[in-house]
Amino acid sequence: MKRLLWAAAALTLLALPLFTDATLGHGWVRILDFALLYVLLALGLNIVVGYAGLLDLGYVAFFAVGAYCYALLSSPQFNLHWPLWVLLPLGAMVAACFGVLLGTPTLRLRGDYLAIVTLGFGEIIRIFLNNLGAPVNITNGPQGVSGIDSLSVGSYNLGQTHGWGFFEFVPVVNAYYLFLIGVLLAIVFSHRLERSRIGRAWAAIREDEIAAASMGINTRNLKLLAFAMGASMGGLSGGLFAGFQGFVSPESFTLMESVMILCMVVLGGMGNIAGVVLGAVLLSVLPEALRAAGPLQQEWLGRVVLDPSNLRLLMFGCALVLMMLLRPEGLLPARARQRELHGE
Amino acid sequence: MSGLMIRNVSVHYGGIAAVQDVSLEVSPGERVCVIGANGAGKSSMLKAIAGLVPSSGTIEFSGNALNAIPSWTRVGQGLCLVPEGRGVFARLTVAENLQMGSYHRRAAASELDDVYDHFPRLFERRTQPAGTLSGGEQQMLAIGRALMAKPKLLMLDEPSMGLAPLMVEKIFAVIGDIAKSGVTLLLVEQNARLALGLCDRAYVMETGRVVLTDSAAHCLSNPLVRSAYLGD
Repeated sequence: MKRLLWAAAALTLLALPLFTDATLGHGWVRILDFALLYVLLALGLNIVVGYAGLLDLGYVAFFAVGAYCYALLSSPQFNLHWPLWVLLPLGAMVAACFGVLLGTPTLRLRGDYLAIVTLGFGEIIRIFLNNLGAPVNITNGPQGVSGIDSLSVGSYNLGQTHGWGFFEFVPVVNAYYLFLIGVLLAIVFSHRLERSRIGRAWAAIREDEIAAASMGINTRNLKLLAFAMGASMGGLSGGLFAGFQGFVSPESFTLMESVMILCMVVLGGMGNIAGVVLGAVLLSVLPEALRAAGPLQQEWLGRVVLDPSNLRLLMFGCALVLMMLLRPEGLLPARARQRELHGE
Repeated sequence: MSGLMIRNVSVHYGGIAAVQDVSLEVSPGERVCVIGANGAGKSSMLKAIAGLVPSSGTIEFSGNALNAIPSWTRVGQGLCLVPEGRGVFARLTVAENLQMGSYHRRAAASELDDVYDHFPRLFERRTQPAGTLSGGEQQMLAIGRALMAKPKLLMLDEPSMGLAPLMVEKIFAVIGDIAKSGVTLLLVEQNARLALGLCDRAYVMETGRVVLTDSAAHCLSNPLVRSAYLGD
């Protein structure tokens, strides 16, 4: 029975982009692609915030590092065209280095103080990307890097349409499968990590750092490891993003993005993989669904009373307030967190 | 020789000196307490020994200098601190908390049972999150967790803090048992009567300095100690 359910879930995930493409069009598959990238980001941030309890408000910086890594080494900018299998691990590794770079000076900080420093770090990265266009042009400044090579696995170019028998694999559908592989790997990795020795040490640090240190846990290295592992998932997601979009610019990596990713983690259920995935999917798909509110009003009322773009933020705010009142532990909370807030 | 020796240890927080020039010795198997009022620097001194705050001076354990060694390595050498305010991992279960105690080494399952023998109450509550325990049970858990680290020297920071007198009695009885099993004890307490009753020797700290050191029996009859710490 359980096996049957797994098979059904796998089939649904595999068929979803083809079905969506056939019924709702390319635009919606694109939304699914972004949802998967957000899931990857949220899973990465979950390691830092959910497992190790380190509040990070500048997480999008690692996404940016990964994206620019890919963009600079696979575009006309420097006339380099490195392959995907080099770029993705490299982006993850460079992002991990930046994670350690952020972690080192903040080892003694916690909670709100840490949040402020990480927020500053996120902005520093963005401003650097914005200003490294002169005197030596590295990032091309605010114009961003364009003409990035599309994702391709071996000789299979994901940026082109391939017909396989009855099915037609358009670029957005191809990307979906690649991103899905990334997300599944990240889920397995997070799951193993949570139950490992490292995961237990993170839990101890999250609960009480002094006590953790007096139990012989190397708090310094483990906190750096959390930053590095979280950052590497952000970097991976960034690389995929750059190859998918074909264009990156600093304005994709604002503070609002960091806040959004944090909201996904908190809303879904900090520390619980299923919750984080759910939060990321909901918060990236629902706002898009709200776009339909404009045409609907036009149809029923004859004019647009509430502009959907304003409506999105209003709904988002209401959802956050409601969640914090009704389910402060998130939609699918980690078991430990639920125990804390609701007793046994 | 698994004794502790500290010489001229000072701890500063910014410009404030919490511990100044403290020297102290604990021989193997000995039970030593440090008594003193709030802010006398007792906790800071324990934290310095555990490596949780930076300090100057010499700290030696079993003849090894500890100054350059980070806190997580000191645990492996047999020093274990039960922190002030207990510091249990609130969202982890009692059993998980105890397992964290043996994080730095490979522990046999029977060791968990040894702790449960000391504290049957913890066995009853082993699947409960530690945050839901009473203050006394949390103190038991903190001590049990430290035992899982197999300490040679057990440092306890105010185990009686905020507990009902009956619970304090129970906990001190267990601390006595632990000491009897051969663990060296360094106990910091504000409850001087209890501490002196349990220990062989005492140090009295005031404003960051050691002002008196004597056997516990002598301290109990010392008029200065009696008026300042025993309320006579």
